[in-house]
Amino acid sequence: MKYIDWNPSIDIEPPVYIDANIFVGAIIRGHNLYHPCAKLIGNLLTNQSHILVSLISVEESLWALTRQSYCDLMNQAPNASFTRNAYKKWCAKIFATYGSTRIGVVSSMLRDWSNAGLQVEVIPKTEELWNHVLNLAPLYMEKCELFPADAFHLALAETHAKTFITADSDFASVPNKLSAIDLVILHVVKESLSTKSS
Amino acid sequence: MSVTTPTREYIAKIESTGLTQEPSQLSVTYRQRLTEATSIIWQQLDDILRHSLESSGFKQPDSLLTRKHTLAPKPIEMVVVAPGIIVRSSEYEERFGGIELDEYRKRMSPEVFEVFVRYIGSIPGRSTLDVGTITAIPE
Repeated sequence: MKYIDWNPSIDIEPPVYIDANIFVGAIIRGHNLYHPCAKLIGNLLTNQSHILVSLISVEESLWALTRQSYCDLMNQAPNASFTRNAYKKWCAKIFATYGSTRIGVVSSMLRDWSNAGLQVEVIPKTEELWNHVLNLAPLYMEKCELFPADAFHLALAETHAKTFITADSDFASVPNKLSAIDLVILHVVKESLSTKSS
Repeated sequence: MSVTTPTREYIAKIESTGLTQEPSQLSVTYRQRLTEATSIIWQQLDDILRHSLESSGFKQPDSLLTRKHTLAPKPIEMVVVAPGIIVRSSEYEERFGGIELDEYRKRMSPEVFEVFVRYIGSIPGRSTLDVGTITAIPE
């Protein structure tokens, strides 16, 4: 397993499993990962790469866009506290303001990619692979000290993809603990940092 | 037979009375109906009428109107990124500045390019946004 900081010159081996932070990073502009995320997506679409997504990625994207909407609605900084209780309290207002334009945008994007002829596939593909993922996720939680969602991302990527693309640096230590796995973790970083790789 | 000197009030409509071929019978009334935001048109109309009347022998007062060049509404520049995707130039710069869009346009099919530019950067964010934080499932 390798962990590499992405830069535009890197060849990405498909199929690629994409973490939610990349989708969200490419859709919301103005932050320091916007350009690398947008360019990375541009390169994947240009190469018509086989793209894998999971319900976890979509769920995390939905939370992210809901959280962004909540912060805009409350005129708060993007890193402001956002809890499930806050969501319950403000859900109707969030959807009244941003429901039609924002919340489902990742879902729409994936559907439009597919309609444009790109190979976008939801994983796990089979019950056998799903069982494999179910077994791996708790192991990765323990071995790599990952949160459950991250352990599932890793298990899904390992069982279905050649490349796992994420902006989450929590995966940096994974190759040291799971060296035998045939997977490249491509880490998206700020452009000024993307010349380094590990 | 009377001639009303065109004033430099902004008007939306010109009402004429007793208009004939003879300039001495020309009567023009200016009436203000629109806000000053639209006055550039009436400024031009005023110029035309003044010139016409002066060339016909009716000397016009010099400065009944103070010209306000700032009245012209600022045009909104729009950019067509792909068929059906039109954004303001400011948004274009925020979303696509620094991204080699022409290169992607050349290398992608029109359908793929359209779905690429439709979504990237479509939601405004802030520089302090951390994608790791906002994609975390809240507690």
